[in-house]
Amino acid sequence: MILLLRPVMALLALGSAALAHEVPKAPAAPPDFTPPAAGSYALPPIQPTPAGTVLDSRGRRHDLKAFTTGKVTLLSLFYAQCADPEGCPAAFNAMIDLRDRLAARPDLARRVRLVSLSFDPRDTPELLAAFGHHLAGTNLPWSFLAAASSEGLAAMLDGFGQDIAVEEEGDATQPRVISHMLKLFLIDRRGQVREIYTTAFLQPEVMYNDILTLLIEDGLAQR
Amino acid sequence: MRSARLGLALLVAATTAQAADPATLGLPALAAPAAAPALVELGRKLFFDRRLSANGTMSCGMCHVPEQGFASNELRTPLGVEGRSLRRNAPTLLNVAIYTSLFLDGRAASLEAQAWDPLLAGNEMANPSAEAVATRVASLPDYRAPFAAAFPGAAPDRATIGAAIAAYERSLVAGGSRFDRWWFGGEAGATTAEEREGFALFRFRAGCAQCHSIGERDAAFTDQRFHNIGTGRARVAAHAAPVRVELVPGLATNVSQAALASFGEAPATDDGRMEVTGDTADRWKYRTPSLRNVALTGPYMHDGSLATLEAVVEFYDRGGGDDPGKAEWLFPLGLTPAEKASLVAFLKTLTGPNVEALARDARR
Amino acid sequence: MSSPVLRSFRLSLVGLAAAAVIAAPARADETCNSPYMTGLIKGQEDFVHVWTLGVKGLGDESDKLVTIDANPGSKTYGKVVHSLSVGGRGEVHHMGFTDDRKQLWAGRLDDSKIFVFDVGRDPSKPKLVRTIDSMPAKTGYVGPHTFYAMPGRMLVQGLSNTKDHGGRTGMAVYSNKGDFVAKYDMPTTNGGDGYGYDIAINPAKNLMLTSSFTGWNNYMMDLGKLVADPEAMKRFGNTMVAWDLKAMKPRKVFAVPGAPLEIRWSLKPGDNWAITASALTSKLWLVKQDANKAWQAKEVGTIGDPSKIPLPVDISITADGKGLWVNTFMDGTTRYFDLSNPEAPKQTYSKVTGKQVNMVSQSWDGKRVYITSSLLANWDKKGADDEQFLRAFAWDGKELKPLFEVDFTKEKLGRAHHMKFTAKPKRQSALAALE
Repeated sequence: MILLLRPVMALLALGSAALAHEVPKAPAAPPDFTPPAAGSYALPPIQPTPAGTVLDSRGRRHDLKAFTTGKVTLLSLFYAQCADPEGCPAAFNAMIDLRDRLAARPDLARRVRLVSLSFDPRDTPELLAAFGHHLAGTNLPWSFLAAASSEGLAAMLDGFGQDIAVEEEGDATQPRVISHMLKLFLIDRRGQVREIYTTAFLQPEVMYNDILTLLIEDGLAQR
Repeated sequence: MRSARLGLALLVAATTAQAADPATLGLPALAAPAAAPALVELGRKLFFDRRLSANGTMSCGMCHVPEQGFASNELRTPLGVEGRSLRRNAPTLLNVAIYTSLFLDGRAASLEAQAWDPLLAGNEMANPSAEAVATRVASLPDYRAPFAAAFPGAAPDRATIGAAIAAYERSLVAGGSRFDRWWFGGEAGATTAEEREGFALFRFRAGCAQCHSIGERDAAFTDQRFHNIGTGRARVAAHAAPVRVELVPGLATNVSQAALASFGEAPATDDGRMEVTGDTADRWKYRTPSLRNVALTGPYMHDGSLATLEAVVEFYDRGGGDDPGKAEWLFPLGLTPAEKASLVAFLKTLTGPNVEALARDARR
Repeated sequence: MSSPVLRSFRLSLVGLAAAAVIAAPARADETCNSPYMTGLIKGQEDFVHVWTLGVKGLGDESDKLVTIDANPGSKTYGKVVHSLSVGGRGEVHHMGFTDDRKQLWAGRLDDSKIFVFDVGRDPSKPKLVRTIDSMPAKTGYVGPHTFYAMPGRMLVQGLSNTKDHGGRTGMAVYSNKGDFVAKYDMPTTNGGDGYGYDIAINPAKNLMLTSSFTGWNNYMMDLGKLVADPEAMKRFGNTMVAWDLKAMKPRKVFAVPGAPLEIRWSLKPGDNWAITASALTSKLWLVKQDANKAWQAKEVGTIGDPSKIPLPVDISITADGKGLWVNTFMDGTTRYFDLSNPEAPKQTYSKVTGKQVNMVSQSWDGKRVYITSSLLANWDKKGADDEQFLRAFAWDGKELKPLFEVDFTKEKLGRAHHMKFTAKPKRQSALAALE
C-alpha cells in the first residue's frame, strides 16, 4: 500500500498539470540571457554511457544501449519516492517542458527520446508503468527503466558518475531518503554523453538548443 | 666502432651542396658538413623534448625558443628546473655553428660537448648523469625509429645524443639577409641609404666591426675572442642600487636593495672568461656574439641588461660600461641621433629571411 | 515546510535545495566554490585540508595534502590528523572539489601534475585515487591553476604553455573520471592577451569570467630576480574575459591592468556582480552590467598603498556579498572591506596576521577565517620572514581572534598554500539496504 502511495505523491508533486499532459503549472523561468544559437557551438564528448541491463515498465530485459544509442537521448536518473520539489520532480518538469517543445516538431521528435532510469530497487515495473502512463504517450518516446540487478545498477551509476547513498537519519516511519546529486545526461546517437545538467541549472531552452545542436551535427536538422 | 658509425652518418649528407642555399649567403663556410636529415630530425626531437629534464618541465627549446629568435625575448636571464636562476642571457642558436668556442665564456669546444652542459647542470635541466638521460631516451618507444634511422645499430649514449642535438643546432643556418644580398650578393636595392650609412659607421667611426668582424667574402660578425666592455662591473653595481620596478606600463615604483633581499635570493657572481682560465685579467670578459639576426634576439648583453638595439647603441656611444678595466678601445663616440638611428637600422638588415621557416620547422 | 519529512529531505539532499535557480545559488571557500558544487557546509567544518609545498631539507621534502581537525568539539582540534605525501616537488598551488564534492582535485604549477583525492568517504583520511599528468601533452598548456567544477567534469585553467613557458595558455576540461574532454585557448585577439588565472561562473547569466596572471617563467622565478627584470615585468596579464559559457567562446575582453587574480561573484540572491583584485596595482575591480546590460569592468577601490606593492593575493567574499577579506602578501596584512556598496568598497579593519600571508578562506557563516602563508616557492620571503603556517581566527565583526595555529615548519610539513573544508559525511548505507 505504502509502496504505491508514495510514488503517486511524487507524481502529485509535479503538479496536476503534469498528469494531464499539459505544460506544468510552474514552467522554468526563461533564462536571463540569450542562449547561443543551436549549431553555433560544440558539445565535446564528456564520457561514454555505461553498459548495463535494464527492465522496462513491462518487466522485459534490455541492453541499456538500446535506450542510449540511435537517437539523441535525454536521460535522467531518479527514484519514485523523491519528493523534494528541487530534486527529481524538477527534472521531470524540465523533461515535460522538452517533451512538449519537441512534440511541436515531429521532424525532430522522431530523432529524440527521453529516458528515466530509476536507481531505487523499490521501484517496480508496475510503478514505472504508472509514471509512463502519466508522462509518456506523446509522439516523443519516453521510457521508464530500472536496473535488472543491484550489481548492474552500481556499475551503471559508477559509469554515469552519479553518486548516491541512503540516508540513515530521519523518521523511521517515513520512506528512506536517497541522497543524490540530480543529473540529466544528454547522449548523442553514438552513446556519448555530450552534456550534463544538474537540478540547480535546468534551462529547457538551453537544453532544447543542445538537442538541436546534436541533430544538426549529424545532419538531421537545420541550423 | 661507434665513432666510425657516427662518422658514416655525418658523411652521408656531406654531398648536400651548401653554396646553393640562399640562407648561407654571406656566412663563413662551416667546418662541419651538413648532417644527414635523419640525424637532424632526431636532434630536433631531442632538442624540444621536455622529458629530457629531471622533472619533465624543461627542454633545450624552452630557453632557445624558435619564435623568439631561438633565444628568450621575455626575460633577461632564463630559469632552469624548479625555477632556478641562471646568470646569463640565453644566446640565439641561429648560426651557432660559426662559433669556434661555445658559451659566452668559451668553456666548450664543440656543440656536441656543449649540449651536455645544460642537460646536466643542476640549475638547468638537472639530470643526474648522461647515462640517466641515455637510459630515459632508450626507454621511450617513440625514439626507437628515429634513433635507428640516425644511428643504425647504435644505442642512445653521450656521443649519439650529443651528435644529434649538435646536428640540429648546426642546421639552424640563417644568413642571406638583406645586408648579405647587398654587400656580398651585389644587389643594390637590398638596403636603404640610411642602412648603408649605418654600415659605414659600423665599420669605421663607431668601430663595431673591430670585434664584430666582416671578412672579404663573408661575415661572421664575431672575432671569436673575449672582451670586457664594462657590463660585468655594471651588473655588480646594479645590485647595490634601488631597483625601479614598472608594475604596469606607466606605473613604476622603487624597491630598495634591503626590501629586495627580504624576498629575493642573492645574485650569483659572474666572472666571465676568468671562470675558465683562472686569469684575473679575463674577469668580465665575454665572447663577442655574432650580430646576425640580432633584431630578433633581445634583450642584449651577457646578462640581458639592455632591452633594445637603441639601448645597445647608446651604451657604446657612452664608451661602454663604467669599468676602468674595460677594453682600452672603448671610448665615447659622440654619435648624433641620426647616426644612432642609422646604426640601429643597419643592425636590422641582418635578419635571415628563413628564420620564420626555421621556427615553423622546429614545431613540426 | 516544517514537517519532519521535509526537514529530513532538506538535510539529506544537502545542497540541492540551496543550489536551485530560484533560491540562492550555492556558490560557496566555503564562499568560493563552483556554483555547480553540491554539499555546501553551512555549519561547522570538520577538517581543513591544506595543499602544501614540499621543502628541500624539511621532513620528507615532498608535496603533501595536510588535513587539520577544525572542529572545536574534537579531541584533536587544531592538530594535524593526516598528511599524505604525493612525491616530488612540483609547485603545489590550488584545489577544487568535483560537482558532488566527493573528490578534491589539486594541481602543481611546475610539472603540471593533477592529483585527485577521495575526500567523500572519509575526509579525515583523504586518499589519492588518481594522478593526471596528461595536460601538457594533451593541450600544450602548463600550470593547472583553478579547478572549477562543472556537471560531471572539471574545468582546469592553465597558466602557461609548453612552447615557451610564457603566459599564453588556455582551459582544459577533464571528465570526473580524469579523461581529457576539450581545450579552449585564452583569446589573443580583440584585446585578449592570452593569459589565464581564475575562473568564476554565473550560470544564471550564462557568463564565465576569467582573469590573467603570468607564465611559468615569471611564477617560477625568484621574486627578487623578477622585479629587477623589466622584460619579465612586462609579462603579466592585464585583462579579464567574459565568455559565453554554453558556447565556451570569448565575448568581451576587459582591460584590467596589473594581473587581476581571484574572481568572486556575489553570493547574494539577485546580485549579478563579481569582484576581483589586481595584484600589481593593488586595486579592486567590479564586473557588472551597465544600464544597457553590457558587461563592464571598473576600478572601484585601492588596497593599501600601491606604491609599496602590498601585493593583494587572495580574496574571500562573505556569503551575503556584503564583505570581502583581502590578504596582502608583502605586509602580511589581512584586511576587511565593507562591500555594502560594491561600487565603493571601504576598508574597515586590518590586522597583521603574519610575516607573509597568502590565502584567506572563511566559513559560510563568516565566523571563522583561515589564513595560510605561502604564495609561490620562489616568491616566498627569505630567512626569518619565511613563516609557514595555517592560522585560524574567530571573527565577530570587529576583531580577528586567534583560535589555533599550525606551524608548518616546526611540524616539518612545508609551505602552506590552498585550503578547502570538508565535513564528516552523515551516516549512510549502500542502496542494497533498501532491498
